Amino acid sequence: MSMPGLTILKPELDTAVKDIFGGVWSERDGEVVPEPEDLKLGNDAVKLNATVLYADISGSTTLVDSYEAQFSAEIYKTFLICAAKIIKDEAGVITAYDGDRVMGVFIGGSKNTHAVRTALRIQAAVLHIVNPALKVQYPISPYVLKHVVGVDTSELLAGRIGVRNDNDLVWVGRAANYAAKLSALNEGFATYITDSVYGNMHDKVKYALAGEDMWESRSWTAMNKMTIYRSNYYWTEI
Amino acid sequence: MALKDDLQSAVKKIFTDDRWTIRDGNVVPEPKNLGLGNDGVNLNGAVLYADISSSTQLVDSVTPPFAAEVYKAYLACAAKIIKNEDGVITAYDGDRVMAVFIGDTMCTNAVRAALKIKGAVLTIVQPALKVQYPHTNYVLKHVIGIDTSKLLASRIGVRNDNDLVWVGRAANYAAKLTTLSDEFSIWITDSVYDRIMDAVKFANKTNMWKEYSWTSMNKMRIYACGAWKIDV
Repeated sequence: MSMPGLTILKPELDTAVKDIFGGVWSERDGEVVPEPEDLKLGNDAVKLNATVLYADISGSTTLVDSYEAQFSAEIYKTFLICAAKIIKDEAGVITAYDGDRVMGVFIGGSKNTHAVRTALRIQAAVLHIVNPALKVQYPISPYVLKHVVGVDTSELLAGRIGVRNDNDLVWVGRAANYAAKLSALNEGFATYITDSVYGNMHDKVKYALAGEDMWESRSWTAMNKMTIYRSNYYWTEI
Repeated sequence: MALKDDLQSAVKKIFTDDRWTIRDGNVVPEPKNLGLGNDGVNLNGAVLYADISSSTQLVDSVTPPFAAEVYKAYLACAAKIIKNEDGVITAYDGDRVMAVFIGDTMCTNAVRAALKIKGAVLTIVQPALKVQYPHTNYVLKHVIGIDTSKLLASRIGVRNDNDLVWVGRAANYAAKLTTLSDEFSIWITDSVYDRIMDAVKFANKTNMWKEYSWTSMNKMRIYACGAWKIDV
């Protein structure tokens, strides 16, 4: 059953969709995270081995439901600024902001180590910068910022969406999906990484100062019981 | 460490700068319209999130170029339809798009955009996919969520990343609605349902919307659209 629309967009959409499905891909291997203008509007793509990190505020619905908008905005902004600056300091590239979460992409020889250290430093910033500053300014507020970071690594294809003036990229590949899904887990841990990340990162982000493994393995029921690792450790220096 | 000092002062500034500059907006702001401090624009808006629900299956089971084509086809249609309904695209993030609609008919425009996106998936994307890949059994599934509320837009303020944060119920609920069952492609909250015009509520005098109770959100009323769409 359908109703008539107001404007006939169909011919334009038909052409755009047909071009996308029928077009021949030009694909190249990338050594840097592409900017939208590095890619053409058709089926042009850059292939990268990359590690994706999503950092998400947990319980943000409760936050906006229970606190005034300015307070919530301050929480969002402080968290996102800390996450963004740490991602950049670890040579990651911020590829998207969306509401209360940020996506970063890391490439190169130590991409997993950088991404995981980013996660541990974000945890340190939340514990030692944001929450203490919040308590100073709002001493009687019961709100405590909690967040989750998810990290996965895989081959990724970056393509341009191609709607004029919105020069964003689509990121296609397991890591983009899994990292986002990991950051939605809510069981009291701040960082989740996949086994591919755990198995390919430097010992300095695997073991704590006393030598113990910072990571606890668990089976990810919703995703074919793949092995993932979780941690509440933080990096001592922010 | 230098970064720690930098973060400490940035965070302190946000929390202590309690003189928020807030004005009411009549247009969806661009990042450059907002200052880097605690500057905000208040809007009554309808937020639409459109999300490919089968995306994990898509990246796990088909080749990356095929998955990229599906992403691009869906997002291109969604984006063009949203703009055609006077919505503003405020974020792309992986496989989903966020848009804000404002003005007197914002709920109707957002819902009509959703019905048209659904129409585009059924009458444009899926048929074109089948023509190009006759042997694939992949079926594009998507979920669109719409809510309306007061929103506060503010700039994140990391140099060179001039994005906005959107604070308000509609931004959260619309995103959450897209995680509901993809048996229905469109979910809207009671606030949206109560504000839409009959043109997007009834088709041939039949109500297109079915009421559900959203268990995880205090059983609030939400509505799903079953077999209806609008031709683009």
